[in-house]
Order: sequence, then C-alpha cells, then structure tokens
Amino acid sequence: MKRVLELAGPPLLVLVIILGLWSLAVRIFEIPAFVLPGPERVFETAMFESERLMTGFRNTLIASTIGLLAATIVGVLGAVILSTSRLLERALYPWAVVLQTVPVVAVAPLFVLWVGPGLVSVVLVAFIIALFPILANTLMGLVSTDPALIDLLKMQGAGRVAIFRKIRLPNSLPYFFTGMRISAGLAVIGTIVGEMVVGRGGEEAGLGYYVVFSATQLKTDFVFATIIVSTGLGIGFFLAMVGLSSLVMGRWHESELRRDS
Amino acid sequence: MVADSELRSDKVRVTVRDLYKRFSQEVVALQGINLNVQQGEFVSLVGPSGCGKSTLLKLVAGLEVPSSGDVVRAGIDETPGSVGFVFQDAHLLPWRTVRRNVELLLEIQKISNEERRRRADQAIARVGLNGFEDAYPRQLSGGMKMRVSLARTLVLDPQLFLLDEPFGALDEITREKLNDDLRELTQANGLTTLFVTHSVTEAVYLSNRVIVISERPGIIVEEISVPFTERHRSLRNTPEFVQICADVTDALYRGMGETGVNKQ
Repeated sequence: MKRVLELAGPPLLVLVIILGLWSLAVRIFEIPAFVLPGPERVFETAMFESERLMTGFRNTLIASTIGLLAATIVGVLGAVILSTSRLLERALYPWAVVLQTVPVVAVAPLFVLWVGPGLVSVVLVAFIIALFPILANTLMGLVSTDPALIDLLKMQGAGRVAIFRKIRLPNSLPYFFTGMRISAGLAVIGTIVGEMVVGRGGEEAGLGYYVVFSATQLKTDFVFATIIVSTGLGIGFFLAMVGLSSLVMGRWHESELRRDS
Repeated sequence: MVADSELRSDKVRVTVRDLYKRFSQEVVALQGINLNVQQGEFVSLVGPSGCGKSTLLKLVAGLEVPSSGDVVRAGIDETPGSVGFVFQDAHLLPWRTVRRNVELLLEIQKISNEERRRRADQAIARVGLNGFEDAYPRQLSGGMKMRVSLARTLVLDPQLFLLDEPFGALDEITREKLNDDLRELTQANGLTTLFVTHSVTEAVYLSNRVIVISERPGIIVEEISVPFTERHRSLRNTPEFVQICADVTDALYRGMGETGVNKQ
C-alpha cells in the first residue's frame, strides 16, 4: 500500500494541480464551453453520455484487440521468416519500413473503398499501424543472439530448429514485449483513426466516431470526455502488456526485476 | 620440432600439422603450427592478444576450417559431446536456472529427462555449486557463473577439453581458486586439455607444457615443459616456478620482437 502511494502519489498530485489550474483558467478568463469546457463540465457530460461512451469504449476495445492480435501474429511470423535468411530480410524488410511510413490516415479511406465502411476497415488501420514495432523488435531479438552459444550448440550437432527453440526464441522475448508495449498504444490510436474515417454511428460507433461527431456539433465537452476514455483505453492496453511481460519474464529478465531492498 | 615417432604414437590425441589460417590476404593468423597433445596432458597456449591462439583452439574444436594443413583428432569419438569447449565468458542463458543451463547441451543429445537431471546435478556438484541448482545466472557472482559454464561442458564427459581464456574476467583470488579446481577436475578425470590464456602464471601453474605463440602471424616460439607433479598455492612462490615463468615471459617477448612490432 505504501509502495502504491509512493508510485502513484507524485503523478496524481500533478493531475490535481493541472485540473485545478484548468478549472480556474476557464472561470477567470470566461472561456466559452465550446472552446474549452472546464473539467467539472467534462465530468458531467461524461456521466450524462455514459451509455454512448460505453458503446464507443466497447467497440474501440474490440477493434483494437483484433488489430493488435493480428499485428502480433503477422509480426511474429514475419520476424521468424525474415530471421531465417539474410536475403529475405534484405528483400522484405525495407518494404515493412515503407508500410510503416505510409501515412495511415491517408490510406484509411482506401480501405473503406475496398472492404466497405465497417469493422474490417477499422481493424486494418489498427493492424497496419501496430505491425511494424512488433515485427522490427522481434526480428532484432531473433537475430541478436550470442554467437558463442550458437557455436556451442552447433558443436553438439544442434540443427537450426533446436538453435531456434533453445536460443533465438527465448532471446527474442524481451524485444518482442518492447514491441508489444509500443504497438498496444498504437493499435488504439489506429482504431480511433479508422473509426473517424469509417464514420459508422449507432451500435457500431467507436470512440473515434464520437470524437468527429461531437466536434462537428461543437459539443466540445463530449469530445473531451471521449478523448479521456480513449486515453484510458490506451493506458489499459499498455499496462496489460507490461503485466503480460512481467508474467512471462519476471523471473529472469533485468527489466522486470524489482530492486532488492 | 615434433619427432615423427611421436606423431605415430598411439597415445597422441590431437595432432596439428603444418597448420595455416588466413582470414584475408593480409591477415595471416597462424603460420605453420605443429603441435601434439597426448592423452591426459594439460597444454596451455600463451601469446599476445590477437596472436591467433583462440583461432588455433577453434580450429582444434572444428569451429574454424584451416587454410592449409590439418588437425587430426585421434582416439576421440567423432560424436557430439566428445569435445567440450568453454568460452572466455560464461555465456549462460539468463532465462534458465543453473540446472537447466547445465542441461542445455544434453537436450540436444536427446537424453531422457531423469538421466539429464541426474548428470546435471552431478556436474554441478563437481564444480562445487551444490545448493545453487535452482538459482538464476543473475544471482551468481562472476566466478560462480564460470563454474556453471564449466559444468555445462563437463556434463558431456568430454574426451577433449578446450578452454578459451575462461578465467580472464575474474579477480585474482577467484581465478586461483578456479585454477586449483580445474586442475583437480582434469586430473581426476584424466582429461586431455588445451587451455588458452594470456596469464603466464596461470599457464605454468596448470600445465604439463606451455606453448608460446608469437604475434601475428602466429608461429610457435617455444614449448616449455613444466616438471612439477604436485600443484599447490605455495608453488607459485618457489624459485623453480618463478624461473619457468621467467622463461615463458622471455619467449613471449621474443615472439613479439621477431615480427618487429612493439619493440621497446
């Protein structure tokens, strides 16, 4: 409990100060609510619109999860394939970089055109944006192995499969989780971008849809509420990855070790 | 420098004949090495950094291919596990416990779980690490990690034991302790050992024979026999021991002078 307080105390204090200044500024300068609503007003709106926010949260959560899972599967398989051959890596890796640099917001309308305005388009955007960090990091982990250990195993007649299973794969785990931590947040962002472009409301409405929808109606307080929920979702994804990585590697990896005191 | 009759002797385990190793046109690591190591012998290779002594060890291990000449490993089964190699650093897998690290190379050989565990625990005991079977490498000191590395190779019951500067990164006391333990292990098991080091004292203390290699391109400057039968800590202070160390050091300097580099 003391630990939790020590950890969460300072950032929470900052939050309280920012909220206080925000509230004060809105009052003192008499900023109109459609430009910048005060925190109390955002909270009220969030309560009032809780049903729609829940729908948005649920849909965004589903799309982000599917996008991240797809990126994980394709990213890891891709990294394994690229790690087997220098030639393949040289031929394909630059294209993965290109895929990463293509502005996904600009491509998203194409997906809508090709596969229709729905979950698939949204997931595609999330997938593309989340793929590269997982692919690049896992690949790095698979190839940056200790050459002496590989020699040692080869001397005992170990084949590529055995070396992969006993050295390369476990060696790549910390790198993989680094990629996952980055991609988890990106998947949520990708989903929201996708929802903004797809623009499906009602039961299918995601948080991204509500951002656009409420902004055009100058419901700035609702925009704020949506952004806060989206950020919360992103943090949740990130924390889930942190938890997963400490669950898998907690016993051995330096980054997961608690300081002895 | 090596008599022909010796080359044909039954007891010879490793014979290196007229061995050349070039990495490129300019970089010649080894230039005409002749060497034999007999059953149960402990031979050290000393030389300045970059002289090719580690390359020679890798050639004997079969990890490198000679440019010309051969390495004959007679009387050694050409099966996995017959040659044990220990690297300069421990190179342990951080995600495995001590026991699982020691089991690593046995796993390649498809040995049953119980047998593997039994042999691993035995090897761990041989290097004096009982009680640490379930520890992770990060919990061990540098010397203990090196012991695990030794156990990982000993568990194979190698007929030929190759060590590449295994104690280079350790502090003096730990090093001397491990020297005694290694000496005891190789003696007790009649291991044929080839040991690379840049420490003259260590080489003389451990070996039956010290082979001094010159600066690149590496040739054998001198072979020095070490006559002591018993080894004990205090041996290092005897005049005889100091004299042999001085001989080895002399040969080292000659090896550096011959190529005209580093002349003082």
